[in-house]
Amino acid sequence: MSSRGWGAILSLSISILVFCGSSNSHGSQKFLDFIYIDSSVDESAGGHTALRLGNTVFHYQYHDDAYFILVKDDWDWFRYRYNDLQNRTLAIARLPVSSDVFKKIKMQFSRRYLLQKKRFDYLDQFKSAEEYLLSLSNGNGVVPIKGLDFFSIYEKDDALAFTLTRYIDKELGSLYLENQLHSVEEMIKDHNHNIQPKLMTGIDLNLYSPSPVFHSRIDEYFELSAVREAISVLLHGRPVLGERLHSAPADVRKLCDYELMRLQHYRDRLGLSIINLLESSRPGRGTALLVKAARYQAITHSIRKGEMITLIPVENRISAEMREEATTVKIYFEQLRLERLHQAQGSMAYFFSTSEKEDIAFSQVEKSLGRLWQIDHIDGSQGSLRNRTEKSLDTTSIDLREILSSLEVSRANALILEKELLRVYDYNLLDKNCVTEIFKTIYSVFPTIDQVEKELGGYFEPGPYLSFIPFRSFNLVQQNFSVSSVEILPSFRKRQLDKLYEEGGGLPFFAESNTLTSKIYSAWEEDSTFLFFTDDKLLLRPVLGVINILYAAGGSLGGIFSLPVDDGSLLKRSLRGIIFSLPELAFFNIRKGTFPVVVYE
Amino acid sequence: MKINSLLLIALQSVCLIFSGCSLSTSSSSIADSSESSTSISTSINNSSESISTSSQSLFGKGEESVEKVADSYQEDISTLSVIYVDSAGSARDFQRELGHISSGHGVIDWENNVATFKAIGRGLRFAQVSEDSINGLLFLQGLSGSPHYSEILAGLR
Repeated sequence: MSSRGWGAILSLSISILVFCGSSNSHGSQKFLDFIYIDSSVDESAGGHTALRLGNTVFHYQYHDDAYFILVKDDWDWFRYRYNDLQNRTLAIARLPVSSDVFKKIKMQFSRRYLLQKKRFDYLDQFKSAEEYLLSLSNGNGVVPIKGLDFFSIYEKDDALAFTLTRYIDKELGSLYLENQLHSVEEMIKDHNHNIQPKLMTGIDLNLYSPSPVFHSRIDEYFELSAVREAISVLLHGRPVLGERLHSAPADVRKLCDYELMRLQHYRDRLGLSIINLLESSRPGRGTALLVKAARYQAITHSIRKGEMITLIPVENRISAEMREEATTVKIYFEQLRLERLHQAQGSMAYFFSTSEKEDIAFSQVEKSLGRLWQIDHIDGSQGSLRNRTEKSLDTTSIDLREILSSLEVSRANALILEKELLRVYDYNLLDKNCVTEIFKTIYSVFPTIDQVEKELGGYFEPGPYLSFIPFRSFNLVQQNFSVSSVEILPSFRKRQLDKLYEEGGGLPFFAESNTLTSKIYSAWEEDSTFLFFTDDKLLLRPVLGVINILYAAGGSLGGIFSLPVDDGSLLKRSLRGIIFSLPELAFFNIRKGTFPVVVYE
Repeated sequence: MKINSLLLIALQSVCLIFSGCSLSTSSSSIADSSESSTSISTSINNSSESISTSSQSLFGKGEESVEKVADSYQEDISTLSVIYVDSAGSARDFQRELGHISSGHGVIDWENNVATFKAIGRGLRFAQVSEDSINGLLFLQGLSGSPHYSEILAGLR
């Protein structure tokens, strides 16, 4: 957005607070915090809009697969991502509301978010069923079982794994697991005879109303299979694969006596929880049992070795893209490792200090150490995780004709749901974008416009009179509602510049005006080619824009010559550089330059 | 008519420049790469991952991150309960969704977590369900008399 735009925002504000941290609550008073995020390159040229409710930020995003969905973020992470990494200035208009109104609005966003998540989960479920049936039709059926990939398929009778088996035998009897396995296998046999899904009809989703439950017999079959595999793992003493166990790095590895005692205590709790799960009949217990059993083994390893050993979550698999990025922006990964190390130290310190919320606390330890493992193994020198989350299945009891007809129904269901999701979660530039949906969601809490005006102190219709444009809507918020303050959070570069000006007078003005001599900014391959920063220079912007275009044009020429060497990277960056310099000729700034190496504070 | 059409096209072009809601992922691609996923539901799950280091004590940061996850977990459970008050979903459907939500927050065993049931109670309070009518709720059937029932009541009151 241009400096003029910011001027418009500021002129309308009741008071301006300069960024001094992320204070987002004043005692018990509640606020609707409307956030305007300054423009950026690509699809964010018009800026972005979000709503902060306490520490949670809700905003709408358009995804590559054509869905327009509600996103829920933690405020600290949201600010870091947009304000630091993307180097975009944020403006926050605060509207005081009653606690009751605040709760209702937050619930409405949470409700929409959860319903949306559930529906996309259903779509994933349909696709899993389709994949399973396809594999069955090929005579090689595989059931997806989350958590099974921690364990070895071939090894069994492992001494350490039997620690848990013995505990279960002691608590529930030595034949318990065997009997359970037998009974689950009987149930699976019954299911095998009827896995035909029902064709969905008359599906009509609404953004806020509960959807029908799309749970098929195949999903129940998957759940039973997971229970069978979990019991089998416990009964046969199957060990966790070495590649899924992470011995924490030296910085955090060694455990003192007290920490070992805490781990022992947590392992006892896990054991008890596994007993409860075995006796429960709740859905999803198979995966829960597998994860707990794997965690139990990892902790037993830790206790025996006196050092922290955790499971590596499959989400920490290292992609080829990450490996490539690690070589090009090495400094970033050094920084990232330090951050993740601190996070691991923090989560371990908390876990060892209290038995409060220990399931979540231990998950945080596992997660943070897993992320640290990811960084330490990104160069591929020390092994990697294999993608193996499935279990072979005997297909003999299911008739091929039934499989093929089930496959057809399953595919049809996935298509029907996908089409419906595209209808409900669609995007329209003028009347269904990130601005309009925020306001429509807020207003949907109230039965009438009069009620909106009464509770929020004002109203404006999202959409008409260019109000669908983020910066325009931000002005309208200030014009139409009783906003108590407007807070400006300058972008990362602007904050660094302010610091430099404080230290070194006018000199940084010249050095920091361009990408060649700047000490704050380092050009990197994700940014388009440009020479001058124009976001803080309104009057000179068209002139600097011309220079930026010429500079990027020169880069394009160079890019043509370097095509065989860099795979067109410089050419692409330079062409984008020309495009994003064009608005500067008309006094508009879109590109700010981004900062991939910023510490999360 | 022609002029009107041209004006409309021009206006839409301007709108295209000024309105856009999707994230520019250019600067965050690496930060997010550990969480990248092609599945939209997974990306929703992972959208609030964070890394922390600051002048605050590491312990404080550890505590803060656990508290955030715990709060978010309870909020989601309360919301789920509100949704189920309006729906005809069964206890088993409700439990299945509880399982999905809890595993997303690192709570593997929601059944043995007091916070789960208190959050259900808070959801019922928001939905203005009275104590007397809890037994009539399809998704909470079978709970009466169990220790979880009193935890739900504690959240409701």
